[in-house]
Amino acid sequence: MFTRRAALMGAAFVAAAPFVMKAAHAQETAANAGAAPADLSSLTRRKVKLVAPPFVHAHDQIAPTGPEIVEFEMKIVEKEIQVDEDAWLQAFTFNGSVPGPMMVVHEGDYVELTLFNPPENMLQHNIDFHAATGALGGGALTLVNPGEKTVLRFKATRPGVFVYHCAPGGPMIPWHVVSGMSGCIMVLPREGLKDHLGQPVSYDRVYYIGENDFYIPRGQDGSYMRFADAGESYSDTLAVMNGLIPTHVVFNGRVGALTGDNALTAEQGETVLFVHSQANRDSRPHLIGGHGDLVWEAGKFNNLPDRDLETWFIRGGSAGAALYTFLQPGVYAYVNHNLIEAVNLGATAHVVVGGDWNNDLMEQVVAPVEYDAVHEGRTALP
Amino acid sequence: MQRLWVFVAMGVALGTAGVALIWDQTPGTLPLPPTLHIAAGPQHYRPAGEFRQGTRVVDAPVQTLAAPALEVMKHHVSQADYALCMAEGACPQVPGGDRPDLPQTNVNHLDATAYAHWLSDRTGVTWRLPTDAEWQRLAGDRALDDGFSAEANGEDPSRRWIASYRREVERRGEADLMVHPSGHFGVNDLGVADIAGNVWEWTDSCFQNGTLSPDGTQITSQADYCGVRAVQGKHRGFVIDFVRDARSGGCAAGVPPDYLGFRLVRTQS
Repeated sequence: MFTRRAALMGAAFVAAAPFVMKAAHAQETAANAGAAPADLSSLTRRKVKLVAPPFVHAHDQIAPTGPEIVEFEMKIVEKEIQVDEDAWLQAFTFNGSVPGPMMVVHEGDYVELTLFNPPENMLQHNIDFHAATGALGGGALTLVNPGEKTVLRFKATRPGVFVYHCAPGGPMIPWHVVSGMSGCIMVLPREGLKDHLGQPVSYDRVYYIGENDFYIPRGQDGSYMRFADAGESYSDTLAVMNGLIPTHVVFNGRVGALTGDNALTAEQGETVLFVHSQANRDSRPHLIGGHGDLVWEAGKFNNLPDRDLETWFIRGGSAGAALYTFLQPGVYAYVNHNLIEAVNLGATAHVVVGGDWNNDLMEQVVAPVEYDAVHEGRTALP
Repeated sequence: MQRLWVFVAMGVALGTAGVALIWDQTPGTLPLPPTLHIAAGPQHYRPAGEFRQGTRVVDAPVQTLAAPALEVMKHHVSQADYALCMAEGACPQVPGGDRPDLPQTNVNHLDATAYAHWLSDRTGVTWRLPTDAEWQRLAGDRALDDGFSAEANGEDPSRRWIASYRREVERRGEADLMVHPSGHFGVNDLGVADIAGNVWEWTDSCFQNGTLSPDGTQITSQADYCGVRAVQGKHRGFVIDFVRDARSGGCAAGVPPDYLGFRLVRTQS
């Protein structure tokens, strides 16, 4: 539905763009002017090709060399995505996926990102790395118009998992984030992860669970509205956003994106690192039938991990990491343990784990069977 | 499916509501809906529910049933059909339009049963939901056997969970959340329309807990649990009787039906 308000907002974007652009250039000049140049000529460079979540590009857990410059490229893609069988979103994406791809470097490395905003896009975008220091996380240096690219380099000084997201100013910030523009970077300690005793730990697989909350307006007939472009969706979407009640809470951009044929897999005895990010809203991951052996709830590896957690908390605007060794085969559900959000709004993933059942850990002693309600069960009362 | 059990007590409590209905239309005046004839059995049938040997969940043994001939509605009960029953105050109010070419969805077991009572009164012929066994007969070449491989009947319970998960995913495919006009999914070899499309059909069969003999060929005990009924479509599911939309049921295990609807049968007199 193309409303008059949407049309006006569309015009407002165009009118505001030159000003924002000017402001961005001013900040860029300010950030770089008069500063001593950094001499990185002795460092080696390495290019990494990003892969779409829930998978993560190949990487060493222990850094094999000294610090290096790690080069990444990301293209911003504005496109309509389907978030449920009956719901579509005019999404903004880092590299075409919601969430954006997970990047992995080591502490002390330099992240060098080339960000492309292709000419077919409608809007300005940028990137704010929570892992970076200064200039609004890089947001002030990376605002690109359609048809522009920019290169940002920042030093990864703090080990942990961190959110990145688009933050192009004012009301565009939350809108871009709830339209899909967030992702995660993992800065590993150079010597790899350590447990609560300082002993090295490693993982066999890593899965990146990016959680998104979507706010999709409904039409008069109750069905979700579908829009021709992002500008048209803005005013109706904003009204739902400001109510703070999401219509969808999903992992990997879509209801069911990590279930069925796309369920995650693991084998009994394997250790899996689950990295969970939420750029906008609190979440509480829980692995039904499993645990978090070691959990960096706030996601920062200089802090000792918590042990044996049942559920952990992801503050909106942060990422956390949980390490778990699967002990029992079967189908596990990895959920946001607000179960309304998990079951009715979409925040459920499945993990299918192969292996051999361990009766010592669990056994059904008596299968469900009718009992004599007159004589049995009385001792269960206090 | 195990997760449904928490709602079961509520299902029983509500089960007695919605029957005291009064209607003033002349009985026996409504024309009969188009039906197809299903020839008499015998039928090979695997009962619906959870069967065990000891604590091991296994396939129920295939039984041979004597099955009488049936008349079955060619189409699902339509929105227009159900709207008439609602208009006469004999069926609970549910969302939906009044189109004669679209199936009535968003119905629970109690709604479907109320409709069967109303239709029986208005046509002068006794209609009812099919049993799970009868549904398998009228499904013809689209009926599916729920049996698993030997491995999924073994000692390791995880094998059955994984096999069941994989099979439901494969059978159901992507959800299809559009109600399609009658005939969209074609007819089966018996001429019955839209079997195993995206509308799962209520049956009258209760969930059963049963135990098998040591050799697995005989059912040694079985208990009905009627707060949960079998629904049939691309796969057999079990749904609490007051649920009208089972879609958001896919949390820990099991793949939910897209829509719940129904068709009725009558036993030939």
